[in-house]
This record gives sequence, C-alpha cells and structure tokens, in this order.
Amino acid sequence: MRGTKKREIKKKHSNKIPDELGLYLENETLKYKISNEISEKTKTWQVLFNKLKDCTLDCPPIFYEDGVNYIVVNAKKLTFCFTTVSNLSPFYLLELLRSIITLIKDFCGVINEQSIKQNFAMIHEIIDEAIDFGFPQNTQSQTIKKFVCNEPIILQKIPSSQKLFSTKEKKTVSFQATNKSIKNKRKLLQKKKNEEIYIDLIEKIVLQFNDTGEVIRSELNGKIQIKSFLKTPSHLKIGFNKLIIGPQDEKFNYMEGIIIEDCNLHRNCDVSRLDRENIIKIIPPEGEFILMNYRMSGQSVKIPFRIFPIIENISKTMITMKLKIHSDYAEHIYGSSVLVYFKVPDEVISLSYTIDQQKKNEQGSQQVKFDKNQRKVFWKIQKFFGECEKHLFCNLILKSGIENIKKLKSQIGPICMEFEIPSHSSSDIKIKSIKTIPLNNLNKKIKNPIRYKRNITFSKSYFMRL
Amino acid sequence: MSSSRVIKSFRQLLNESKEQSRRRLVIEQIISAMSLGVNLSPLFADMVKAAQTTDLVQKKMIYLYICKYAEENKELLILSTGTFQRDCQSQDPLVRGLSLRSMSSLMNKELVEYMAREIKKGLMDRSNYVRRIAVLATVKLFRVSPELVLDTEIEKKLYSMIAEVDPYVSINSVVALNEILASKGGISITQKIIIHLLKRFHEFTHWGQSIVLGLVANYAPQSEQECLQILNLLDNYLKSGNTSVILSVSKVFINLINDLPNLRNQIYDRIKNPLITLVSCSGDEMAYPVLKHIYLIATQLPNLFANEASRFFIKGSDPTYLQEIKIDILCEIVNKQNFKQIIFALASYVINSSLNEHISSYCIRAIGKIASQLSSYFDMVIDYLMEFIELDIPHIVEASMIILKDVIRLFPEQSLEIVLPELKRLSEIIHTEEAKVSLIWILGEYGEKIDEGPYILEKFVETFSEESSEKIKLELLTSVLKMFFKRPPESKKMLGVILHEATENSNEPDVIDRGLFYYRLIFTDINKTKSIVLSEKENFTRFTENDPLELFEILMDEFNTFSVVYKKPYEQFKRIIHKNEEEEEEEDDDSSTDSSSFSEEELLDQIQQNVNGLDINQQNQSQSQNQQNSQEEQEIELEPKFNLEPSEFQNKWMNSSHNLNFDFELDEELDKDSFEEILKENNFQVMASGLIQSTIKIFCYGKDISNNQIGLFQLLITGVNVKLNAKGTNPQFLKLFAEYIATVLTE
Repeated sequence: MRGTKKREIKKKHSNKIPDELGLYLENETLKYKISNEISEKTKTWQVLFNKLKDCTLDCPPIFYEDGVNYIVVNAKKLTFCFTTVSNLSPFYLLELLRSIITLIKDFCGVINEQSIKQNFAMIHEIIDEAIDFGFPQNTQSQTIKKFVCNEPIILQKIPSSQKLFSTKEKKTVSFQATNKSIKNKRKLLQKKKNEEIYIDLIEKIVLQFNDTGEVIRSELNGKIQIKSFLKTPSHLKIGFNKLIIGPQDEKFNYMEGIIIEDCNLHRNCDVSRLDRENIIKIIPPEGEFILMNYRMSGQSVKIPFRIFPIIENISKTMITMKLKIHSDYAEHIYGSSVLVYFKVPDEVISLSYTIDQQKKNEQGSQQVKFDKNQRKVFWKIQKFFGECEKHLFCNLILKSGIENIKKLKSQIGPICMEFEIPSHSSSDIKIKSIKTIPLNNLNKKIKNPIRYKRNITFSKSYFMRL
Repeated sequence: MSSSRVIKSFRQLLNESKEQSRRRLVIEQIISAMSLGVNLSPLFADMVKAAQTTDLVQKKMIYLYICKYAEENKELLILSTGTFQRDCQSQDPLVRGLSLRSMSSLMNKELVEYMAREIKKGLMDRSNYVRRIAVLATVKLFRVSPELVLDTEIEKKLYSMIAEVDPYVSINSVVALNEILASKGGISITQKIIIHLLKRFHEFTHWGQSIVLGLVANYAPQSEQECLQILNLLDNYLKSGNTSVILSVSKVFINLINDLPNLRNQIYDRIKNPLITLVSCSGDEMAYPVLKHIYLIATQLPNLFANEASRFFIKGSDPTYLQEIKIDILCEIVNKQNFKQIIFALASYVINSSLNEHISSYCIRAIGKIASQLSSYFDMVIDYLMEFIELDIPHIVEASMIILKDVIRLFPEQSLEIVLPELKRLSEIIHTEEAKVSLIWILGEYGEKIDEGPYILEKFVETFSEESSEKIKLELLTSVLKMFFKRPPESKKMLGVILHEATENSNEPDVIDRGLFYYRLIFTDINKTKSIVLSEKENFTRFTENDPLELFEILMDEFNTFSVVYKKPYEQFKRIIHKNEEEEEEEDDDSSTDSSSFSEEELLDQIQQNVNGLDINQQNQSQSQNQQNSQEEQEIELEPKFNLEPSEFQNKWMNSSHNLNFDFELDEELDKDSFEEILKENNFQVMASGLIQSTIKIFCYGKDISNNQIGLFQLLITGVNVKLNAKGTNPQFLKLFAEYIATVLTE
C-alpha cells in the first residue's frame, strides 16, 4: 500500500449489506448490485482509491467515509472491498470477504488481474450463489459447485522460477501445482481418476534476543493448510507426533509432547482422537481451507539461528566487529535467501569485510553490501545448511573528527534476520501419516489419492538488540 | 459516442449467432464488458429476447444483465415478465430458483403483483433451494411494498419456516423476519426459538451461527441455570475456525455477565486466549479489529492482559495501523509488574529507525501517558525522555518536548531541576509549532528559575514579526508577561517590544486583541494584573484530553461492531441522509455513467478487439467442434494401433505448421525404458529413442480418435526436468496434446 505505484483495484462487491440484527437501510438504494467495475466513475471506487493513495502510512483494513463503512482486504496485489452503512460486526464482513476471495481462487485456480478479467461471468455467478441480497448463503466451494454453470478459463502455467518450495526433496511438488481450479471439466486428470491432496505446514517465527544472546521473546504462529482435489468423499486421517493442546499448566509438565498453547480449528475437524492416537480426522471439503491455526511460545519453539556478535574495538577511525551465525537444524536441509542486516552509526562512511568460507565450493553464495542511505549492512547467504556456522568480520570505517565514542556503540544494531527454511518446522510438529478412507466402503477399489505434505518455516520478526 | 460502436457489434453478434455455444461466448463477452464499466444498457431489448433460451449458462448471465440495467429500462421490463414467469414453472429447481431470485431483485413497483404471487408459490415449493430463495425474496418484496408482507400470512409463514429441517431455509427465515420487523425491534426472540436454534447450532454455516449468536446476545435468559447452559453449549465455539463466530460468542458471554456477575473474571478468562490466538494467527487485516476489541476489554479490565504484554509488542512486519493499536493496548495494560518491560519496549521503538517517525512520536506520547498513570515510576520516564532529547534527532526531540511539558504539569517539583538546564539547547533544535509552544509555556511558567530564562524568550521575541504561527505568538505574549512579573529588569524591554509588535504590526485579530488586552490591563492596575497572570494552579491528575470513561461503557454495549474499531458510538459515524441529497446523488451517478471520461476510448478499443478476436476464435472453434461433434468437451483419446512410417514421420516433423514448447517437472526420476512403457500404455507410438549423456531423448507420436489430429513430439528428459517439443497442424489441439503428455508422464 505504500508508495505511489498505481494499483489495480478490483471492487468485488459494492453492496450495502443489510444488517442481520435488524437495523434496516433507510433511503438506501434498495437494489442489490454486484459490480466488478474498475471504472473510476463509481463513488466507492473513488473513495477507496483516494484513501489508498493518500494514506502515507498503511491504510487500515476498516475505515469509514461519509457514513459508509469500507472493509478492504488485499490478496495477491489485488484489493477487494465491501461496503455497508450498517453497524455490523467487522469480523463477519472480513470473514465473508475472505471466503469470497477463497471461492474465486478455488474456481479460477489463481487470483490475479488476468484470471479475474477472463472469468467475470463465472465470478458473478459465484457471488450470486454465495450472497443473496447481501445475506451470505453458502460459501463452501464444494456445495456451491453444483450451482455454478460457467466453465473457468484457466491461465497458462506460471514459469517454474516462481516456485516457493524447493524441489530437492522427492516428495515435494512445485507450488503452482495447487493453482488448479476445483471445477474444470476439461482437465484431463479427471479421466484418470487422479485424486490429490496437499497438506502444508506453514510456521512463522518471532524471536528476540537480548545483548547476551538470551531469548527474551519467542513465539510461533503456525497453520496447517489443506488443498483438496479429492473427488470421492473420504475421511482424511492425519497422524501427528504427540501434540498437547492447552495452556501451559503445571499438569502438563510431566507429559511429553509438543505443547500448543491455543489453537482454532476447522469446523469439520475432529480432534477427539488426538489425545490417545495423535490423529486429527476430517472430511475435507473441496478446495483450500485451513485445518488449524495454532500458536506456541517459550521453550517449545526451536531456535533455528543463533546470533553471536562481538564488537571488538571502537576507535576514532574504525569499529571492528565479528558476527557469527549458527544454524541449528538438520544437516541436510537449508535455509534459503537468508538475510542478516544491522544498522550502523551515521558516522560510518565505508565498510571492508571478510567472509569465512567454510567450504571452498560455496563461492558466490554469500554477499555483503553496505547501503549508505539506509545506514545498514546487508549480508545475504543463499543457502544456509543446518548445523553449520557462518562468519563475517567487518571493519566499519568512520569519518574523521569524532569525539563521542560511547555514543557510537549505542547506534549499532539491532541485528535482524530474514529467512525461510523449507522442510523444517520450528515447532517440531510432524505429519507422520496421511490416510484417506472413502466414505462408502463398498467401493474399495479406489486408488489411494496422491498425497503431498510440505512444511516451511518463515521468519516474521527475528532480531537481537545490542 | 464511441460505445455505440461496441453496442452495434454486440447486437450484430447476438443476432447472427445461432449456435448455442457461440451465443454463450457472445454473452460472456457482454458480461465482461459490463463488468469493466461500459454502459451496455441499449442492448436491453436484445438481451430480453435472448432470455428465452433453454441453456442455463446463458440464462444466468442474461438475468444478471437484466438486473443490472433494469432501472434504466423500466418501460422494457414488462417484456421480461413472461420469461420470468415461465421459468418459475420450470421442472428444474435451479431454474425456478434463479428466476425467482432475479425477478425479486428487480424490485420494481410495476412487477409487485407478479412478484408476490411467485414468492407465495416459492415458499411452498418442494425444493429447499427454491424455498430459501423465496424467503429472502420476501425481504425484497417488503422493501418495495411493505403492506404486502407485514401482518400478512407471509409473516406467519416465515415464523413457521424457522422450524424447517433445511438449515438455510431456517436461517434465512430468521434473517428475513429480522429485516421485515426491524422497525419493531426485529424478530421477537422467545425462549422457544432460542432453544430450537441452539439445539441445531452445529448444522448452520458460520454465517448462520453468527446470526443466531446475534439473537442470543439480545436474549435475556430466564434463570441462572439457563445462563450456564448457554455458556457451556457455546464454550466449544470459542475454538471455531471463524473469527466472526468467536467474537459473537464473546459478545454473548459478555452480555451474560450481567446475569452472572460472580463469574465475571472466569468468563473474561475464557475469551482471553482465543482473542490472543486470533491476533497472531489470523493475518494483519483480521488482527486489526481483534486488537481494537482487546483494547476495549483492557479499558474495562486492565489486569486481564497484563501478563501477556509481550503479545502486543511490535513486530517488524506489522503495518502501521497495527503498531498504533498495539501501543494503545500497552498503555492500558501497564501495571507495576510489567511496567519496566513495557517502557523498555516503547523506548526501543522510539529509537528504532525501521519504524517511521509517526510511530516513534506516538511511542513518546504513550510513555508520557504511562507516566501520568503510574506516578511512582515517573523518574524512570523522565530518564528516558532526557535520553531521547540527547539524541539530536529532530522529530524525537520535538515529540519529547511536548511530553515533557505534560510531565512538568503533573510533577513540577521532581522534574524541573532535570529539565530546566536543557532548555537553552532545546530552543535551538526544535522547529515544529507544538514543540515550540510547549517550550515557551515552560519558560513562561518556570523560566525565571534559570539564569538565561529571559534571554531565551528574548530570542523568540526577536523573530516575533517573522513568526507565522498564531499559536506561538499568543503563547509568547503570555509567557513574556509572566516573565516580566518575575524578572522585571531583564524583561521590561522585551515586553515593550512584543506589545508593540502585537498591537501595531500583526495581522491576526486574536494576537492584536490579546496584545491590547494586556496593554490595558497593565495600565489599569499593575498589581491586579500580576495576581491574574500568576494565579495559583490547581493540582490535577488526569488530562481532560484522555478519553472519557463513559465512552467505553457505550462501546461495550456495541461490542463486535464497527463502533469499537473507530472508538466512536454508532451515532457519531452513522450515515445521515437528507432526501434531496440522496436524489441528487443518484442523478450524479447517472450522469457520470454516461459521460465518457478517463480512458474510455482505450477500454472500448480493447473490447472491440475482444469482440473481433471472438469472431476469429469462434471460427476456429466451430470448425474443430464440427469435426468433434461434441459440444465443449475437448478430451484426448488416442487411437491404439495408429502407425506412421519413419519417412512419413520425418516429413510431418519438418513440415508441421505449428510448434509448441512446454517444460514441466516429474515427481521422480525414471529411466528410459519405463518412459517408453508409460507412453505405450497410453497409446503413444515411439518412433525413436536414445540416451545422450544423462539426457533421454524420445521421438513419439499419437493420433486422437475424436478429431483425427496427429501430434508429434520430442522429449528431452534430464533428471526430473522434461523439455517437450510438440508439432502439429492445429495450435489448440497441440496445447491439449502437450498437456495430456505432461499429465500422463507426471502421474
């Protein structure tokens, strides 16, 4: 939302949603309209566009103008918006808007300007079925499918360079594989009765160290996301390692397992057998959905990287600094595009550095850059394998005539890291088994669907204060 | 107007296209153009005519079109009623439902009678899909002519339909009644209805659940027993995957506290954890209103979240709107235990350069606010503020200055000796209006205590005539006068200058006014003036700028609405509409749809191109469709025993008109033999194959039975990467063919 770059704005729905609590719409245009208009003429669009343009800071997702409430959600560079004049629950509308976006994604395969433009007719149809006169009806892809007649026009495949997940592992598939429409008769797959299910374990980690390297804050937010292309209705059984759901109480201390502080679950989800058998059961709806959101904190979060900075010497001309990063995960996996950066005092004018190459064949995989404008040193490591250490020695050269040396030290840092580690989960949650059992057991000959599981850890906020 | 060109070509296409599939494409283009904002209203009559189709896909799109342009074509609407009525009799419930939904959405006065008749029929329909549409159609009917719905059999029928087995029909009836009876306060909530709805709570969609919870929140249980039952039943839904449900349950819980005051803390404890989970797990957009609600709860129960302070610390990736509300929350939940932690965090945001200036000033203000709440820790606050002032970063110094003023007002004795020595240096750094006003106020109030006090003020007086800010001028006048009474010898001259400047050379009426007022005051009675200007100040502990406590009570009543997000009661942001304005507005809208502003030309050209392109595509497609004989299904089935001579293959390979390259990846590596086996199993014929270093090269071909097309291809396989080069005569077929090969191989 920052910057002045002109953005394409899609208004999915400019309707005034009537209040379910009975506050009626006085003098409102009584007609129910969906407009997929991107013309600048509509008032809603104008307000929205101005707001996005004028906001020097990030535009809040909920705001009002002239008594009209706007709910704005961004998805893949597109902006979706609902408006209403009633004082409704913002959560209700946000969830509804998100469901609509998910629906469009399920049907079109991908969400981008092109796919929406090509499928306007179908999207109208979907919204018509999902929301009648502003009242949400059915927003599940699976049930809505039988009411939708238009065929999606599927976009060309995306170049393979845009893949999110590594291809090293045999079991992983490219991320674009999930860019399929749930409703596509032309797909040749159907003939072959090819059924697929993708289970992704995505974790984001928040970590803060103090100057001695102690962890003063650690949090992990994870989600298990499933995308199901199963054609025969089946039970899905996902086996985990030992999970304990509940607040960190004394009574849990003697139990072994991964303690999840709190979570929320998909409505079809059955966790009654989690305690004894470590199994979560669900009859997966078609399309994409989140099985579970969870959070944990404290010692249950495994720390992927430890930072060891040593400021060796501060003189009037130079600061010498040593930085060591230790990776703490399995040897065969690696963090990709690991970025370490820290701020340096305004007085620094240039930088000289040496990188300690542990292995000779790693040439070119590391880069160090000093950005004068931002006053930051960036250290980029392409592949950071587990159980190893990377070193950076740097000399920060100062401009002449500095008196207050003490002040300089306080201006170094914090040291921040950004990374993603495919095939690693910092919570240690593991999907051990995925089983599908068709609902009607008579039809025993059905082939097992192809099951994909993937996991990845992202950094959300990872830094050390000096 | 240029859009007539587009309309003309659409009309032509509509009239010319006889085949269903072709018509379908034309209509699809019309919808597309309509969605892009082109006014296609003139096509109305043609579209109504086209509505007589039996093809459901076309019908749906046409009805969509009719609903969109009905208002502009009122006189033509009557033409469409025949089609609508016929469709309401259809055998297919999908068609019946569609027709009823579209017709009722027209909301046209002329059609009211047709509408009412079909709705009554629809309410009795044997399909629950039609029934649920009919229920909502009553709301639309109500909007057009309330007398046809209110206190009629429809209303009674709706009440009875709440008991229906189908969850959609049931929920829609509740919704419809709520809308229709809005002026009477909505649906009458009886114990019977509540029990019925709660019993089948799990059947409803998330939206249905939220609506039911909205009713329960307004329901007054008749006994404590009942309260507890509701609590226990809904407790599970705090783990729901839907935020709306979680918050609606929270609202029910909070409302029940009135009946169960002794459980107050337990109840809040129950909703605490789910809310915190939502903050971190549900994405930034959702976290925003959740945090706003947490803030509201924190104003009522500061200690509830006190141990969770670290949850509200700012993360690097947080957008600004989350940063602000998090700081607000931290200010609310601060107590003696977490004070150090919170102040330390806030102080670190101030100097953290990755956050923007606005946030760092916001943090400084927050620190000031905390100081006023926890007076015993104020020396720590002042230490931080002094540290910021030493940083020499303009916006931080200026924000700290403003807060210092407030701190001095609250705790003059303790803070003055620390602050006063810094004033001279500060006077040279700060530039913004508010910061200057704060500094001048401090000088006027306490400036006499430092030697250079009057001289700092004098510096400001020197530039008085160049000063553009009225606020600064007014503050300066007052401060100089105060200084005059405390340090007359040094200030006498300065006072003369400033009074002269204010009364003679100023443009601002207020400044002249105050200047003259002081002037006369001094001349009338100098001692009285002194007692007025230097009057004793009352001690105070709370700033009036802080939000009034009553506001939060009102907001608690409006929990789970926009009010909480904006921190304003609904009354304050409600839309006020004057009838005239509304009409004007509508006119404006209309006129703007006609005028061709911005890049309409461009847009039209693009559509024109699409329309033209459609012709060509269409021809190709209809050709292949003729051969195929089937309507739309384009699937590949290969002839099992098809054979080509090597020379023939070579010939075709060299002379093919179309060429397609396609890259994909396999799930796992295979060897050459298994490739050939797979291909043969799927009726491909292998022409030649070989192994060059680690790359497998295969020439292959196949013939599709249904449309007699032959496709040739070459595969280059290295590890899991496959390069496919396919040749043939028809580009569309080639694409399908290539995809087919990819599917066969990746399986």
